[in-house]
Amino acid sequence: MDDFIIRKTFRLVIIFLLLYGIYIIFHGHLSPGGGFAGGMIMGLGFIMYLLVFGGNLGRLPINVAILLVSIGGITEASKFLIGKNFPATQTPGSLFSIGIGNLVNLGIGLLVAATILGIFYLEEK
Amino acid sequence: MMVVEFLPFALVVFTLVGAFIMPFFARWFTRGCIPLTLGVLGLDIFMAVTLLMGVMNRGPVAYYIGGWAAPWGIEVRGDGIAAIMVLLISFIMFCTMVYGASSIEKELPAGRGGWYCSLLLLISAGMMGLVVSGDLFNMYVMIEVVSLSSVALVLAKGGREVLPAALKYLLLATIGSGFILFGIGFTYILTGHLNIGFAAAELMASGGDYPYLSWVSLTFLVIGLGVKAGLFPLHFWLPDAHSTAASTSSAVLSGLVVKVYAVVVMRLFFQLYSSELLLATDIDRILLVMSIAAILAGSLFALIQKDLKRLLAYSTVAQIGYIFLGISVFSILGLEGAIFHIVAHALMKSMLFLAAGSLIARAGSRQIEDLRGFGRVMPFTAGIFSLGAFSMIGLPLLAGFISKYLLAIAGWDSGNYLVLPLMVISGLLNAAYYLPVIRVLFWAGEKELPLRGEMEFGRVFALGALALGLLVMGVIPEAGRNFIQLAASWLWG
Repeated sequence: MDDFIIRKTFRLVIIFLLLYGIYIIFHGHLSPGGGFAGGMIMGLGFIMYLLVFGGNLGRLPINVAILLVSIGGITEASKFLIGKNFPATQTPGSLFSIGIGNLVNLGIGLLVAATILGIFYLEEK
Repeated sequence: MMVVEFLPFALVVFTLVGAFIMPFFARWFTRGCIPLTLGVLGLDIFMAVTLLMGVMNRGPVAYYIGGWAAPWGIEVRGDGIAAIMVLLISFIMFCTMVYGASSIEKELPAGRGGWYCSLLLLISAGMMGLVVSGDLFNMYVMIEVVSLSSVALVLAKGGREVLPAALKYLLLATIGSGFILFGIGFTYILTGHLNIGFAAAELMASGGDYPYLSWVSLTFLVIGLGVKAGLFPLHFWLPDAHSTAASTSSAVLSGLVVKVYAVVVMRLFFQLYSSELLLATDIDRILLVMSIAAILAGSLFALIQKDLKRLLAYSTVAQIGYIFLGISVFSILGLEGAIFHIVAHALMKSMLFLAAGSLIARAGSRQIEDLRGFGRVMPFTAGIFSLGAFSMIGLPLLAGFISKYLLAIAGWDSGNYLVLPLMVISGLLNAAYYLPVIRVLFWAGEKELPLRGEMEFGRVFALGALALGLLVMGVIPEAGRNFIQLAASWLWG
């Protein structure tokens, strides 16, 4: 999509898009959202970036998606092996207050972002 | 010992992690995929055996994920039926994968082998999670995992033929999921709990005050699970999906996937709803009629099939009827027969599908007539096929006989005297459609045959292992039956 306006605008927007996704992932226990919604926003950000700037990346997006699925899956499964009180929970309402839950939300976010990316690029390999 | 409590859950997570890292191998180390899958499933078998021994010694165990206690946290149950099903799932998946090590590359389009391994691990994790789950919503999530991956298993073969079958399967599986979700929602409205134990206590206390709501939730759950399990009037996706898929997919779908939904029905009936509530709705009569119709209609449909895999798929429709018959007579003995038939049918149907896959791969056609004389070409494979068929008919010394015997006795004991003649008639019907296939396989007539030769060692080994399991279950049934009896009495409560 070789368009001057889109490129100029999107260069500004992409930072906020990804940041918003990360914000939603890490505030999953405080406000609506969480790993799934935030990961979806991040994944859509990746796709839009690749649509605007990525001309001929070849198989790079799908490789990144595969790696992210592996990392996110292991992170997500790790919560089951670690008890609810590790690391010790903090004051309720603060950002990293739910111990392992934050890491798990990040894992779910990575999984969803990678899946969105993978679904979009699967046909283009 | 803490280990046994943790095992049912560790099995699910371990297999799931295997499924997650498999795409990495599929992309960069394709040669490592099949050994890794076999390793994961082999360790699963080891863990499942440990779980079974532990549960046999200590009684049912429960584990709460992450340490959160029951009404809020997710409960994982390691009771008798869960231990049996987990061992069965890992054993059948392992044998299927040993067979698949030499067949996957030939049956699927190039480059899909590693992804297919990931799918097989995902569906095993989903099935294991479904049978060990003690929480209604967790159950729903696992049902979704199993449904979507089974549609993908059908689709993996590619080509024009599987597309309509997979689409039909996807639509009906989604409708079934919707029904199940509604049923769980109504149960939650009624009880305020998603944990099965707590919801059952609440239903016992106040369920009688809201009869219609509890009937509605029961109806939604039974119809949803009936669609998924392929119970007779809702079975019409099953023959297409199971007959067009690759042979390893068919073995898994027909041998295991439709059974785990029957296990869910057992859990819901005997652990969630009280028997007064169930008997007040006449659901036992309805299920009895549906399962008798399934047994007769499945066998009659199978009788007219010209396509070997379609014949086996319609036979599955009939056999699902037996399992639901065991549930619907509402006695411990009936439950025992149903669980025994789940185990026996999983062994024999996956064996039949895998043997049929070998025969079909050699003959290059799925029509029964084109397989004429191939029993002379591949005597071992055709012999295994005949063994499975004899077990399906219900000849003594094979596992199929024991489960039919148990079901007939259970029907007689509970006053459903029609069950006994039904077992005889269905055995004759099974003979009427399996024996012609065996005759076609072994009596060549005037036909020119290819040179005698079996398939690769992996395929033969997998078939031999399954046949050994079937013989052990049939010749010394007491070994398995004692534990199945225990599991049935725990499930009965």
